[in-house]
Amino acid sequence: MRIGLVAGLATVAGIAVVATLVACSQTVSPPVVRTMAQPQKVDVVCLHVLDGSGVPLAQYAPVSETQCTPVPPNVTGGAMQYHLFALVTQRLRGELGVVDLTNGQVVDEDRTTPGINLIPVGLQPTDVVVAPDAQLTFVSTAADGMTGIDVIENTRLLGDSTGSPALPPLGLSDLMGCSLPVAPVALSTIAAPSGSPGTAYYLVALLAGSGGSPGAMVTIDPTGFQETLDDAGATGAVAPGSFSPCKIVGRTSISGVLPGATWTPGPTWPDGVPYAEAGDLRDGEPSLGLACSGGSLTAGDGGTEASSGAPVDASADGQGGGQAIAFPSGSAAFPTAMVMRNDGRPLAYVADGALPLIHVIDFSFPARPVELDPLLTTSVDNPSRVVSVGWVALSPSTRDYKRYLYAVDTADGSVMVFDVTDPDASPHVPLRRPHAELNPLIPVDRLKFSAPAAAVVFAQHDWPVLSPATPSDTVNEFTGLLCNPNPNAHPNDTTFLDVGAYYRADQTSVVQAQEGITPTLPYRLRGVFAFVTLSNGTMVVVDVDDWDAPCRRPDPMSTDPDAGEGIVGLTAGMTGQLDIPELPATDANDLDPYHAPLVFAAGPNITPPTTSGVTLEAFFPVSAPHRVRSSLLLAQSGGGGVVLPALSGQPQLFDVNGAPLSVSAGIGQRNPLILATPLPAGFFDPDYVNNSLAPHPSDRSALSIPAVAPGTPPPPPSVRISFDDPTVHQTQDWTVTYEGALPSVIGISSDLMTSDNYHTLTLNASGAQLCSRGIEDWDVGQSRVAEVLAARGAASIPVDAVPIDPASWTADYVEFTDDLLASTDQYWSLPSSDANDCWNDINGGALADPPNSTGPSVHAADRYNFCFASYDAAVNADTHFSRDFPILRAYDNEVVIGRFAWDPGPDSANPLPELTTNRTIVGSDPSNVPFLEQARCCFHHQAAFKVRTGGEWVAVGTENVGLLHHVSADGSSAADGNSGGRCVLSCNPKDVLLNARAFDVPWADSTCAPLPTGAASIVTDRNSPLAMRNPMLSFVMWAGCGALPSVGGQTYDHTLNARDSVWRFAVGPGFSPLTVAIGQVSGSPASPQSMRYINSLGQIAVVDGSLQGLILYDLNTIAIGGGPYY
Amino acid sequence: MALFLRNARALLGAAAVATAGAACYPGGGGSNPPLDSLYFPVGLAVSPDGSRLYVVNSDFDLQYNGGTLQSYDLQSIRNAAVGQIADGGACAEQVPTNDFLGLGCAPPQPVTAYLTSSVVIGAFAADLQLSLSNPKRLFAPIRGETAVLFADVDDQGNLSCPGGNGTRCASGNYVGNDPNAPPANTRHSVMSGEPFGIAQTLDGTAIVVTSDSDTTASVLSSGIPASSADGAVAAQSVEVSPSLQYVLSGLPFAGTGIAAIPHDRALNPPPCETSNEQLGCLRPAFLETNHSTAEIDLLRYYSDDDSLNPSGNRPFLQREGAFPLTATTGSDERGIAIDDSPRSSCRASGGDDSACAILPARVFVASRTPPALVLGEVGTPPSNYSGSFDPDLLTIVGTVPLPSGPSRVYRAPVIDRNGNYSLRIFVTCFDSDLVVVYDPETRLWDSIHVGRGPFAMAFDPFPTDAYHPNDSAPWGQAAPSDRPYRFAYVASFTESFVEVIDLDNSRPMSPSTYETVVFALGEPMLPKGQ
Repeated sequence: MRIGLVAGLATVAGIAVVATLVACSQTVSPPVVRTMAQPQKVDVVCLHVLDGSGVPLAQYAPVSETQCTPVPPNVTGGAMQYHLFALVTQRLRGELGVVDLTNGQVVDEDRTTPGINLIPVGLQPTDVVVAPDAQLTFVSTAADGMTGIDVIENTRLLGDSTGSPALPPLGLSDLMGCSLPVAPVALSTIAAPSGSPGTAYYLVALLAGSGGSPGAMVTIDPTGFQETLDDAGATGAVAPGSFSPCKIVGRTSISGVLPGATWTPGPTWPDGVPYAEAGDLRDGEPSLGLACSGGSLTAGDGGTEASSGAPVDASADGQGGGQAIAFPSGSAAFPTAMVMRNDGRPLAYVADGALPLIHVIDFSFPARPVELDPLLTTSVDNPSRVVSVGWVALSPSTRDYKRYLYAVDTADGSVMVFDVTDPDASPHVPLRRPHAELNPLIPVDRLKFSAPAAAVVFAQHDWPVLSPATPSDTVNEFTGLLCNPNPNAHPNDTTFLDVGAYYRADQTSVVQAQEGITPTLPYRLRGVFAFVTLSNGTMVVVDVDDWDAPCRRPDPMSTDPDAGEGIVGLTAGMTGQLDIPELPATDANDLDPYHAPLVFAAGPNITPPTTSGVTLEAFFPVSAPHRVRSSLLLAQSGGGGVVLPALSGQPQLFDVNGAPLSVSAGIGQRNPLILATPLPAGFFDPDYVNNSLAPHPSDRSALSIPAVAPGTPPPPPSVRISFDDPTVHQTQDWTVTYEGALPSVIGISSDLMTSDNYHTLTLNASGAQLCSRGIEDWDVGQSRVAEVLAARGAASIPVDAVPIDPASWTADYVEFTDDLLASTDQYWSLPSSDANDCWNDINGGALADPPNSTGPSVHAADRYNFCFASYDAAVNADTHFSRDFPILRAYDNEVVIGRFAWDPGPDSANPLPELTTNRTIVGSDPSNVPFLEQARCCFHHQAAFKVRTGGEWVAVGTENVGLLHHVSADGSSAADGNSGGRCVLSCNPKDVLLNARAFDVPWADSTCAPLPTGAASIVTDRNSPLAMRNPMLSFVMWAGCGALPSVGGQTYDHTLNARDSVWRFAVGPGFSPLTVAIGQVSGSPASPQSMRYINSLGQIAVVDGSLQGLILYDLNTIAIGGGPYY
Repeated sequence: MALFLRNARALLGAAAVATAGAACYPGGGGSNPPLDSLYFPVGLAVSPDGSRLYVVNSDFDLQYNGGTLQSYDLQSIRNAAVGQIADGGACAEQVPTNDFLGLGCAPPQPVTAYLTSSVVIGAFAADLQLSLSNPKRLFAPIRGETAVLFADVDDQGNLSCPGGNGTRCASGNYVGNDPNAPPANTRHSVMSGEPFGIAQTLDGTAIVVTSDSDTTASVLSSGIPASSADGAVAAQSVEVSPSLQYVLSGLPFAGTGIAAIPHDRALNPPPCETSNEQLGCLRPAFLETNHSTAEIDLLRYYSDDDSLNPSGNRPFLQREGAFPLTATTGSDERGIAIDDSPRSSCRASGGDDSACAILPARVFVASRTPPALVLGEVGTPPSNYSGSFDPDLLTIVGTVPLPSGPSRVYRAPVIDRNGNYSLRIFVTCFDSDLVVVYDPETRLWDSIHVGRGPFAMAFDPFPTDAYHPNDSAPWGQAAPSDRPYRFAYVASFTESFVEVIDLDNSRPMSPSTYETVVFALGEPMLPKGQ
């Protein structure tokens, strides 16, 4: 049968070349013959297979997993006495694969049959678990009509592949088994309560819901199977081949009842700064805007309703306020996965695929399992969303005795973090990320990855050190130590008062080598980590409790330039908002790892170190709980070149045609100048330190520090990189464009209509989610201007530095991007009508038809020609300013536009043309009628458009970041009938750094003489309203200086900036997560199915559905440790 | 096989040359295709009343001068299939086994006893669909013609193309290859590349077709009035020919699958299809896959058909966005299906109408490399940061590994053991000769071994709201002997026959024929050289 199938596949492969029917020349690779077929779940068992002489035992024996140790380097695993076997369910054919991990091969269960044969079990195996005493293996099966558990004696796991004489291979009828009424989803075991008679453990099965009935958990007594092992003829023994009902001794349905009606977001998890309370960082961040601080707006003509910021979600800050639970009515519980907890009180955490719950079942009394209050799976960003869970994993205890549950949200593949330390008292909702505003690109209550998470596993791993007193004792080695950089812990070359000092960055060689390697950070995994496999085949390492965290930091961590014997010097100061100075040690006996503001120490018994005791990374914290781990040290030479995010060369200014523009002295000063923001007090910029890895701070020197204020001659352009959160950085090309187009508004066509007789025109684009695209209307523009003018006033910038009130020209505007219909199109000849009345006032009514006309209009050609003369072809849209219309009001489904006006100047015969530099906004007004009628008629009542940032610069990350903004729909049902809500600026503190817009900041008069206040004092730091700060960088756009053009001595322009002038620069490298690509094993793509940490090996087993096999990842090397086995 | 491959390579070489022109594959010369045979079938459709099975054959090896479009008496096929599995039938007497052909207890039957009508069409058809608003019109993208074929069918199942049974469809039955096709092609457009995937707006008034060999998608007016707002099928006869309206360019190369996003009728603003194109209505949208770029594109359809747009009904498409596909490591996506049953399930459970309307619909995409079913959701509920429901926002949530060669994706219910409808997602896996049956509720899947090269499927009719779990089948608790069976139909491309699969798991049969092949229409036939 198998041969026939292979032959068939080969034939089909040939046919497939032709029959894919999707390309003219597509080829298909020949199929790879694999033993495994849709492997899914895995467990392991240790077997004693060889005697001390390497001779196979007559009967191999299951033993404790701890007996199976990793295969040392240069040792043949096959010769070891104890072999660890992975047991892998095979979904497609209903089999259990047995893989000898010690010897590195798939076990052939039946050597009498060609090929590699596996153990047959029931169809659709769903899980596998090995008994605590290693004697039995249980496989749950879900085949329709045959739902139950197959039981395998582990003394027969190896079929006829070994033993003397070899036992016959297992057949389905050789297995014990028992039936269950519905399909089991998952299996586990729990220890029997101490003192209870009979079995030492129970089997726990999670049963799927069926026929509208909820799922259930059952406790199964395995005594019958155990008795069969001991005495097949015993009364209660289960006969091989039998499939009678399982002996269920306890049962509870999974409840579909919710404990309460509301929830509030959970507290934040630790921020990685254990020695200080960072508190609210808002004082060191920009303002969210006047609307959020209670300030009034300057209602413009477009502001028929005063806009207000989107309401703050108080609950999102844990300020209280119950949020209704999104709970689907009528749905039953639908268990999808579970994880058991066995640290004293046996608990099962059961993921639910239908209800927003993680059920908690207490098996303290196995015969009476009880459901406790469930965990609520919620979403702060989308409170109304029903969050279902597909995978759960439970962490080991951290150093502060915390236990965390990770749950995969099936809707977006993110991971929720629960604190389950105390099953009763710990929060029952997901924790939130501390200081979420520092990386607003990921949800506040989730871990988010580049692809959906498929599975998660935790591991506690360490690199032990030997006792200094007994260095040859490799058994009683030190483990679980916190790295200690405190100089008191290592006061001289030979003294280690705290063994944790052995883990300092300059003591790497002390750490015991394993597998022939001595690790260095960040590949040295010590602590508790989560490993998340993504659906794209990437496994990501997440820091949970990194025991090296105190040593991953800058040095010094002090703002006092005289701290540490006056040698702090250049690098005193914080790099980011969480790089909070450490307190000094209280005395020489203070060994606190976080009482080390200066790690570098000098003294008579200390040899000047060549490497620092810490990693000298630029961020702090580098290793924070529940944060993706970096693959590189975040230092200027972080293990492979520069890894700190920095400018790649100077920013360059270009004109609309891409020609470079000068910003040097003279004519170049008429152009704007982008400069880094001044550093806030107490900060230093790690990008501008030379010899930054010198352990002695005084050995470091300053690189050319960028100027932060313009002058004559102008300083080099620059921007300031932020060092607040390393994970936010991405390699990115940036553009900062004057009145640039929003990259988020493309491909949207709108209906053009009016509800006020063309005083305004409405561009309706239902479903376009315009607010989420970052559109800011005139009201928002005036609000921004008010804030900017206030800041300018505070900086004593004279009023005449701003020739025309920016409020009159600051608003996003649309630019129609469509071509007109062809001149031959039937549209032009449609007669005027009620629905087509817009011809009436155009060109003095010359294009309108007489009332009640029905035939083709005689004005068809005139109409087209008139419109073409007005708007030209789409290819010239950027230079035809008549296509521009200011957005008076923006809603989620539509924008309401007015028009631009400009002073034509004194010479009516030669009026000044409309320019982006001389026009102002006309709001709702009767004078708009002919202009807006013309727009509607010429674009046949329907047009696509883009949106530009009138009067503002806009920064766009051109790779992944795109436009950062915090515009959102306020959810209102507007008074004028617009649905979908008004576009307003969010007042959510999480959004405070979602910024992209900048205004010109005047610093000089028209002769380029600095203003009296001095340029340097105008902008104090990156949080000024005059600066642009986003999570990655900040800058100030200093206005060009020079006289504005004039006619007859009269100035009509309000800015020197030309539209589409653009600053370009690149920042990189971005944050590089520590990952392992599953697919790189064979060059194949990957589709991870499940994971299990094998404690005895220090390896993670990943079952992959695409490779159709098992792969092992070694936590010592962070690389493949075995396999793939298929 | 070697001979066949050499032939195929020669053909493909010729095809590659032709690709530079209007079509990848010119029609072969030679004799007319046999009207009474299946020959590389690539598309199936079942009439809404279950009386007809339509098959489009592609003439893939160009042995003939065209393919065929056929109409079969489905009731007779069903009766024959039931005869196999009812008491005394072959399938009731033996345990079904998967033999070389993938058949169980069903010996192949010649098609002649079931064939009603057959017409000759161009070579290299790619798919087949019935109009959603009038079940008397069929559409098939024809790659060899760079056009979409339409053919009408009468109450007796006779194809009119327009000459009737046995004739060759006229040029007027091909839409998209004539820039001067009067009168509705006012833009004088022509399709480009090779039309492949096809989808319709929910009211059936427009058709969007992907192109497998360039970067375009085309929109056609179906020529059929919209179905009434309540979804009833229009009863009037078809009088207007379809017409090409617009060709959208700038899409990723090689569009393959496409599906209309099911906008719920209770949305605010309402879908344009259910609101007579009222002002501000939600316009139809489509998700398109491709096999060159790891993204799924959002296409928006504009009917240009309301009082605001006096230029008349001249539909067009816009590419409104692209959703990066990072959930897999490949960039080869094929079929796509969208399931809005969570909404009907919500309503069936007494949920608020408007609240149910904004539940996400489930999206299923076949990924060729790695072979997987990509799971997604389209439609995002309001959040704290966005006050409105985004009905077209796609979120990818995971993948399910599949056997090799997944291509097309379908959704249809089976009858579960309790006699209720239960939704399944069917994926044809071409390279592994399997049809995967995925249960979106339990997230488990089965597979059905079928003949070589399963390419297309069709299903017995079912109510469109029959997807939610435990929705009773219409016969309720009737005795099994009084209930109709429920079947799926699978076209084997490589062996040129159609298999019938039993999808009723409620019958106390032993052995069970559930999810096995119980009837084979046509003699399986390997390609030349095999």
